Amino acid sequence: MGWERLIVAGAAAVVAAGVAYWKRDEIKDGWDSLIISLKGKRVAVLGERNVGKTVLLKFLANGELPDEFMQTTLTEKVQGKRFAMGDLKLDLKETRDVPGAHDAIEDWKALHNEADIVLYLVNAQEVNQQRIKRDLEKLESWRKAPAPSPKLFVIVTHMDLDPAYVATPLSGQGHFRDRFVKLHLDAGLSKLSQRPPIILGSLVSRDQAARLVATLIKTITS
Amino acid sequence: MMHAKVFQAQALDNSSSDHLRLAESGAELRSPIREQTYSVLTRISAQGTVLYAQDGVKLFVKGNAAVLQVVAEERDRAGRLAPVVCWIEHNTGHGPGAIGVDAVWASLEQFATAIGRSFSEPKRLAAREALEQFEKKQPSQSFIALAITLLQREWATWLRRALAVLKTFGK
Repeated sequence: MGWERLIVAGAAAVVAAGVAYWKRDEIKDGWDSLIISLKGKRVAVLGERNVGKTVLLKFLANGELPDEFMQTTLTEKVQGKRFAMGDLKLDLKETRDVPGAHDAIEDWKALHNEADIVLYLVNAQEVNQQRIKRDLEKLESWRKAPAPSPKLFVIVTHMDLDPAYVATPLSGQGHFRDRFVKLHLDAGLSKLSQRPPIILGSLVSRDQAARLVATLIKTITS
Repeated sequence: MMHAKVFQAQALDNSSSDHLRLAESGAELRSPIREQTYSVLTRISAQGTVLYAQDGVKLFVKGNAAVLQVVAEERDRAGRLAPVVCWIEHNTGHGPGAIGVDAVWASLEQFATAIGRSFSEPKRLAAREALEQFEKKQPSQSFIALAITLLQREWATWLRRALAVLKTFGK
């Protein structure tokens, strides 16, 4: 199985390195490679309302953004993605798109406990610190279950609407992220026993969504 | 015949609590019944099948229960489409609340109006069509279930006879 891992790691590295150079018509090819590094994983996308859960799941499922945006009022199945590349069979496991309302907490728990990777999304334009604190506290309590815990990643979306972030050069984005986290997320993150990786980005366009997912993959595989 | 059990809609400001009301009395559900109701809705929408999906109307069915989702004209603060949801159950006896397609739809519209939502004519027609399909589906499902039960009984009788014959041979 070592050569398979090598291919997966290689593909992820190629995508991570090449994402900055993607042109519009190359996104689809890049996305196929991204899916390789999520092989056999079940991804749970959680977060409050209007943070981009459905958009991210749709992008992971087919590399496209939805034409029309709709509130997620009901939990729905998101089909697994399967395709073959030579002898290598790739499989992103079926998952569910859950509502962001706190009333759906039982659905969140069930999905969290089945997942290999949990992505907790925060809308940079509507940071609700109380809610984030409550959600992360819940995630932490579920992690204490006897089953192996999924890896947690925090993704801050809607950064395209932050003029300061948009104006920040690539070299200064790490510093910007640290400042953003300290200002908005520290209280919530203090509820976790381990500080998760935090990624800032946007799902406003295919290019930006591809960049965000590529950063995610790079973080997952590093 | 069918009856509506619960209505649900997400708040348009995306921060207030969702509307989650009993169809029979119009009472807002409170915790922990709210969370339990969400779990039931999830069982139907995530584990059931899609019977109807057209013109902003979607109907999920699981057993004798269904969830109807109709996109309203109003959008949320982020400009997203905002659907209204109705949990329906089908039973042969007369359940509580509104009975039949007309009454279920009327009660859903009443709930929508009460929370400041409205539906376009194409969505009204599509939603009624979805409800009619659900109403028609149930009797045929019951017929299939009845046929399977009868076949199982026949098979059990045949098996008992076969075992009795084998025992006779054994003696």
